[in-house]
Amino acid sequence: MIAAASNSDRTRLLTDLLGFIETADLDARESSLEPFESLALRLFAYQYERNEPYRRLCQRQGKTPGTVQRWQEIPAVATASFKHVSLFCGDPEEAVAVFHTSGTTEGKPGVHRFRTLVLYRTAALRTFRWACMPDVERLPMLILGPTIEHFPNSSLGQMYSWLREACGTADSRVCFFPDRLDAQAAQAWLLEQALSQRPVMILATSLALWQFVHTVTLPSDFRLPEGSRILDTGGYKGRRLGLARHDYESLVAQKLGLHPEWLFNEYGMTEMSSQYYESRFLTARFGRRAKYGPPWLRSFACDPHDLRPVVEGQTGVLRHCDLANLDSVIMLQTEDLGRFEKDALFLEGRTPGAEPRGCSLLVEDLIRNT
Amino acid sequence: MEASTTPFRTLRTVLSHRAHGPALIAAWQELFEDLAQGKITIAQSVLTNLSRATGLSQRHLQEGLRCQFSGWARCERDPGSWQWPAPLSSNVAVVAAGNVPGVAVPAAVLLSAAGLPVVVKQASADRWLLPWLIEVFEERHPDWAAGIVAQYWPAGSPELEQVLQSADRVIAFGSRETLQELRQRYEERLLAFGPKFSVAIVTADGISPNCVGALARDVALYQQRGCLSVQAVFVIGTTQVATAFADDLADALECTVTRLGYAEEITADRMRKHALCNTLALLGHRYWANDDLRWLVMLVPEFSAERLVGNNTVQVIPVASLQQALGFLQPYRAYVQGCALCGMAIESVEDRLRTAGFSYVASAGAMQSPPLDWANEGIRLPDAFAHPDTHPGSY
Repeated sequence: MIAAASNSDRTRLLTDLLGFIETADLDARESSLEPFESLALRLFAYQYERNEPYRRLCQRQGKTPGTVQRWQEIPAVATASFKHVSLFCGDPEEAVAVFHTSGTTEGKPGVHRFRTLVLYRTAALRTFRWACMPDVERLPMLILGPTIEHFPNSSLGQMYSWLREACGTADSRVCFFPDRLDAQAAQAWLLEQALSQRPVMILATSLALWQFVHTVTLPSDFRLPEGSRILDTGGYKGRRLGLARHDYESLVAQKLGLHPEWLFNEYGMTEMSSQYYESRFLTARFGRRAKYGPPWLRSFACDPHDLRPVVEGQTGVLRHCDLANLDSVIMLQTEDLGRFEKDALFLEGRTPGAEPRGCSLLVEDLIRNT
Repeated sequence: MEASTTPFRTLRTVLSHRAHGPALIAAWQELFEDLAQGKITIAQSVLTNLSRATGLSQRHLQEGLRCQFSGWARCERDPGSWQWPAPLSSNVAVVAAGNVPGVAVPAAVLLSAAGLPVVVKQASADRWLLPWLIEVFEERHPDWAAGIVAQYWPAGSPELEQVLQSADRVIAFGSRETLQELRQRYEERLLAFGPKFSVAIVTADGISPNCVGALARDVALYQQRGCLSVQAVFVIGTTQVATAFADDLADALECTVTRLGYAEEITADRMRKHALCNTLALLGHRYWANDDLRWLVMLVPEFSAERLVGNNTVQVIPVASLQQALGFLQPYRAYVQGCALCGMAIESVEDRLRTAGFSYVASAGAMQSPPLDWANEGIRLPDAFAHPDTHPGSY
């Protein structure tokens, strides 16, 4: 009886969350704040009830569904904790999908389980269209990143596969595999599309895109057809590539023959089901170039010293409240630095880890080598 | 190998006229003893500069340095019994790390006392201590040049490259990346000391206020930046005993860290602490933390390398026996350095600990006081340089 009651609660919550994600006005976040907060508090209560480790964390902080009044007060889980704790509202056997964080130097990956993918899929498709393809139904897609067929535990791979299925034409092409990036095949595909003057969409991780533009030899007058666009994601690891984002964009745009304003960027993570985007369409809509998110995803910056919220415009580590995270945790504490100005998000990289002293180096060493 | 215009040339000239051997060691030990006793005051300029570079308070540095001096004032073995390399038989370059002041001092002193020219490439965070020690030594012994040049050159600078090229042996302290880079270029000549960690092992009946206070100091001195800093305490006893110990350690750390002061960590390290607290709460593990997260004690069922986040963070692990504690550490054998003991005589467990990979075993409170001739990673200086054809070992 209790289990049945729980399940029907979940079903109602899922229905309401899905309804919100399907219908919320993407261009008018302010108007959806009230329903967002109401759903956030309900989701928090559900996760407090069903996610035992999360309940322990909340109790340690003295935060319960009875005391939390605003969405910003919901306790956050550090994304790093996904490596050590099962954060799932239910029996792991019930998971229909299990995504792993991408490899880092720090040992085992984090795990994000889903009992249903409907919220993630709906959120991902709706936001992608809004940000990247509001002007066209389908485009031929070149994918220089994971897809679920080749990377079964990749959350990004799942998203790319959905995007291809829902927004790509039949002649879309995947050129990224576990053992290689097939730059030659990608080049051939692009040349073919260019000949037919059909605009294309390139979905890529930042590093794969970088590798691609440095591997291929396109004609110096090569231009992607008008209306083509590139979305890169995975987080720009500027330090790894040794150049600033602006320089990266200029180089990619120049090599592929399109204006930099058609280079879009996505900010998301395995621990989240929703994403922020930066694109010319959003720039036009909101009046300034920044990242923007859907109404079911709200975030703020925190002071890294004590994790208290900072004032608007001040840089801090980002905390995200994601209504699409039904069966894990709603509030995530990241180590990503950024600031908000109204709804515009400006990312400023990861917390500066300039040559960590002693222990941090030691930990990386130990974990890598034992 | 003949040095041309490097400091080695000058050093070789000076050392060719200077005595060497046990008498030099005794002279250095006397100096360190006077420093440890406070008969000689550390130069204010040294403390000011070190404090600015490390973020540690001058009080903290004084306490840490006096511990180191008291260790360097003694030798484990009689210098008369050492295997001494032939004077001038090798030019030695030492690449120092800056995580803790004075990392290069023992190697520089031991080898220069043997009559080997030693050039120390100092870390940017520690450019003042060794030059000052050399100055004080040479003032006390005008007929004995220290035989050490200590200078700072940026990595990759032509002067540094020339020094390293001119060295017959290169001793390096640092991160794996630093050592790997040096190894690629100087493998045959390199003696490398990489990152390590230390622990404590405590018996239930060894726990006392003195023990807890001493361990708090072993944790907090140099804010866990050094390889001899205690990062975990294994309590041989019940969970109840370990819990009470952790509670007492938390109190002792609050006092110690308040006394020593706290150097604000970089943001990434701060976030690691926050994430660790988050994970501990999710897992239902008990932990104690200062309001400002200046220290963190956690009671956990097993040792984990991922919890070595530094800046006064300690795992307390209840174990049934020494054997169980060593079992937890077995995968990290290549990374353990020192072991502090409470409630056990060093002689009774030292062999087992050395077999487990520890190179320094001491009573609680003495972790920052290894002797001058401590065999770091089992390598004894100057003995290891006594046979030029023998590769002394590398990381």
